[in-house]
Amino acid sequence: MRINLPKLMTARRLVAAGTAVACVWVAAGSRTEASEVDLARLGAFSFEVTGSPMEKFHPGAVRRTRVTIANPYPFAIRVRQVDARVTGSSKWRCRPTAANLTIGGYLGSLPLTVPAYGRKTAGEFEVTMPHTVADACQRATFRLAFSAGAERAAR
Amino acid sequence: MRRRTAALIVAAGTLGAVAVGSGITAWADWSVEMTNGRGSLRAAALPTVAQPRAEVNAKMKAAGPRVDWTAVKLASGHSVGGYLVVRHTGDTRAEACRVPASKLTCVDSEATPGSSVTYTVQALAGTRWTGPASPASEPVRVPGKPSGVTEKTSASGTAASASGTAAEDGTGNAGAGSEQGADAETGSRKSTATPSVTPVPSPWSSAPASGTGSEPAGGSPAQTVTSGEESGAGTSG
Repeated sequence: MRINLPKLMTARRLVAAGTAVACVWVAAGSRTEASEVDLARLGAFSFEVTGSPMEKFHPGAVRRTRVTIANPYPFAIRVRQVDARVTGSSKWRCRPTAANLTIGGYLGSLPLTVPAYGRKTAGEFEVTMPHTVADACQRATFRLAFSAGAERAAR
Repeated sequence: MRRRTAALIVAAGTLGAVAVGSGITAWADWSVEMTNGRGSLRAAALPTVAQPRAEVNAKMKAAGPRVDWTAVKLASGHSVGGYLVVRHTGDTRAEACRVPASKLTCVDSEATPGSSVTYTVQALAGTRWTGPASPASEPVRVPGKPSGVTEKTSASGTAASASGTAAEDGTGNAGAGSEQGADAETGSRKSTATPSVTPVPSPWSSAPASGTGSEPAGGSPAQTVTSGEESGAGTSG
């Protein structure tokens, strides 16, 4: 039996190279997954939560803001919790207190699954400007903050 | 044959690596405890009322100047809560009327007789919102004699006031002259010439402003004459 040594060497090199590439890729992939989990624990993961803007509020006005969640990941996420609160206003004399603006409870159903790279409406919040709103709040812009918790949806 | 085997091994290894490395097979736990998003809400502002019209005619003479104005609405289309009419006598400001949105007139019965006054009107909403003051009305002279003039006239007992003309009250209303004549004769109406600037009781307590439904604009009014955006601001929280 005759052995073609150069050809055998080439094949072995190819196999070795392929295996090396595979190992490096797997290692990199594993590291990425580990990092993602760590980052999630640190809160570094995020997805977009927005509320529809509301305008022309006046004393006694009651309206709803629609919450939308955008999923930037290549897998579906399941949103477990959504909250909203008033965090500030554009005028320092118009404080973000219940006397000036109140946000009611969440109006929607949870959990909510948002598909990969998808966007979904995730319910609403009722916003009320009480009759006691301060005069300084005329023309003020209130900042609302939305927070949400999610996990990767089961396949 | 061996070359083909080697190539297959390489291809399989590469595909496996891609599959594993891209995380498709690794389904580790993933969760986000909290993520934050933003939203905004912009409040409206009360509109400015157009210049009101103030007048004194024979019918209203006894009651005082009558002020009327055109209704305004919020940018959202909702009615404002009401209106505040402010009397300006020289540099002095005083509340003349506070009315619900359904009422667009005010008869100022508390104006000082004989004085020249102007009026501004401000829209109201809620318990604290006060709109900007309208341009001042044209000045009108309140029927009757100023207290000082009345006293002088009464003391001297001149015939000027007894002549029955309306020249002194500046209203062109003959009736005022005849009243003044009565003053001269009796000297008993000094008390009526003393100005009183007690605010008119708010009609809102019994007549809430219009704008009902899911987004009512009205409410009980502020209790003081305010001066623009700063009023009530310090008590916002």
